[in-house]
Amino acid sequence: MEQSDNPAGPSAETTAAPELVLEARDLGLYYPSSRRRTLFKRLHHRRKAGQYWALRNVSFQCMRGDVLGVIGRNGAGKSTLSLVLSGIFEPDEGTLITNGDVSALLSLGGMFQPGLSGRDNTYYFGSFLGFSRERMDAMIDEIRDFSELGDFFDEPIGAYSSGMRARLAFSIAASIEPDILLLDEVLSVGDSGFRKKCEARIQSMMAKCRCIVVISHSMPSIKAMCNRCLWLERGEVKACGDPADVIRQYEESFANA
Amino acid sequence: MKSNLPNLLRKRKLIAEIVRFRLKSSAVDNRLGYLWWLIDPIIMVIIYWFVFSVIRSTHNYSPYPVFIGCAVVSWKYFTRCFSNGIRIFKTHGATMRSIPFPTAVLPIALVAEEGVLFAFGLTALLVAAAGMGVHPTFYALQLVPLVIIQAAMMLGITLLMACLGALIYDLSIYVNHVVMFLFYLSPSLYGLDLLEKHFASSPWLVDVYMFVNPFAILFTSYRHAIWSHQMIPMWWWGVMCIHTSVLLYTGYRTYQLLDRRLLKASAA
Repeated sequence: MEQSDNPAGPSAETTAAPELVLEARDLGLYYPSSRRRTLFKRLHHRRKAGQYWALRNVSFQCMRGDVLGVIGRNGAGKSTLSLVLSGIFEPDEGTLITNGDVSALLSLGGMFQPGLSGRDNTYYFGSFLGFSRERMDAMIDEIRDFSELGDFFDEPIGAYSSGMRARLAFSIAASIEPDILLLDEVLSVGDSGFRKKCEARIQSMMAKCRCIVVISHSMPSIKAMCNRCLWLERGEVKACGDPADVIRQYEESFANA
Repeated sequence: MKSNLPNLLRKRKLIAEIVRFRLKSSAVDNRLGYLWWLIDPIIMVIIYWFVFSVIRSTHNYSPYPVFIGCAVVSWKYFTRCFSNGIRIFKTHGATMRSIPFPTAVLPIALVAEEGVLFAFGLTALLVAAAGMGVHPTFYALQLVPLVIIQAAMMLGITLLMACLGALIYDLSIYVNHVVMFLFYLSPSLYGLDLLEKHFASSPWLVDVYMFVNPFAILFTSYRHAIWSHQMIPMWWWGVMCIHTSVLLYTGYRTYQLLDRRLLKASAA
């Protein structure tokens, strides 16, 4: 089990014992093999349909105020970890302890209904997030203003550029106020101006959240935002600790490859 | 989040919102908007009427458009639930990977959404029937329980096909042929009287056929309510309830057994 070397996060100002918010103990999750073979090949090879472990023996803790960065190559298991932490998947092995509501600020753009306007899609999203219509009515102007879409907010999403979709997706997702917030690759979209605005919003959310898990390929963002970092490699924890140290090890692995 | 009954009941508002927005989305996708929901089934009936009036005598089933309309409108509800049910987790994979919710709300919302279109189709059929001199009577009240029974049947079938479609990636390629065969095997373009005449020496075969093929009783029941103005026999209601219970139970149990695998299949 990975122990926190520096449990004091940005918002932990007291000297009391740090409060455990999130704990993963030997988490494991496998996917069935999605290899597609014709019936003839199946009969010919007679091989049993396989499975592969996307996560195995993953352990870590997050204390109140921690901002944990998760890094790793493509296919390392970062997004699967996010799916497990957000409650979409139940782990096949190990246990996950969460002290509070978990919400993911995932790549929501894929959920949009292209025929509906930005406004309708916002309400549509809201219903999945469990928001009542009254609550959405109260939030809609703030979401519209944050997205900076102007009159496009009432136009069909099909007419949006990918950047505009990303703005709207972030604006909706950033309106939630969970205890534990998961951010999966959302920082790598949008122009630099909007990215800075997102980072500022996340900073303000941090004050309200007990802890945040950031999954990103952007090392500067991880360094700037996180006080701890977890490096995943082929579904297992390669290193966990100070972001500068872990990122240095991660980048050296590329040089040695 | 597990797709068990308590979770699904808790998420009924979500189901209603999905239905509302998907209907709105489908309405804005064509120029005629909501009007298309009335025109679409009529066009389908006209096509079948035109084709089959040419190739066979239809004197027994007058007016023939109303006769086939009773089956075609009901059949369309089935095929849309069936084919969209197979693809539902592929089309909503992003949603399932983004937000935790009981995934069974998706097939339930699909059946409800298609149910609204089916209600429009039936309304269009009743209006068209009245235009051809077949005015709605007291017997048309039988449509209310019939529609509820069919919706429940569709739910069972859609839950089952959603599971199978997620796990068998090429299923939709093969089932189209089965669906087409089932259509011609059902009394859609012909009446039960044709079968009774054909199997006059062994009438029990027709009873077996009606018990095995849910659409045989369903199509004929719609005709009783709209076209021939008769009471639907009690034993038909009983058989329809058996069909519905079996399909609902099979669909729900299969979904519960495969719930976790479905999510993984959507992410793999």
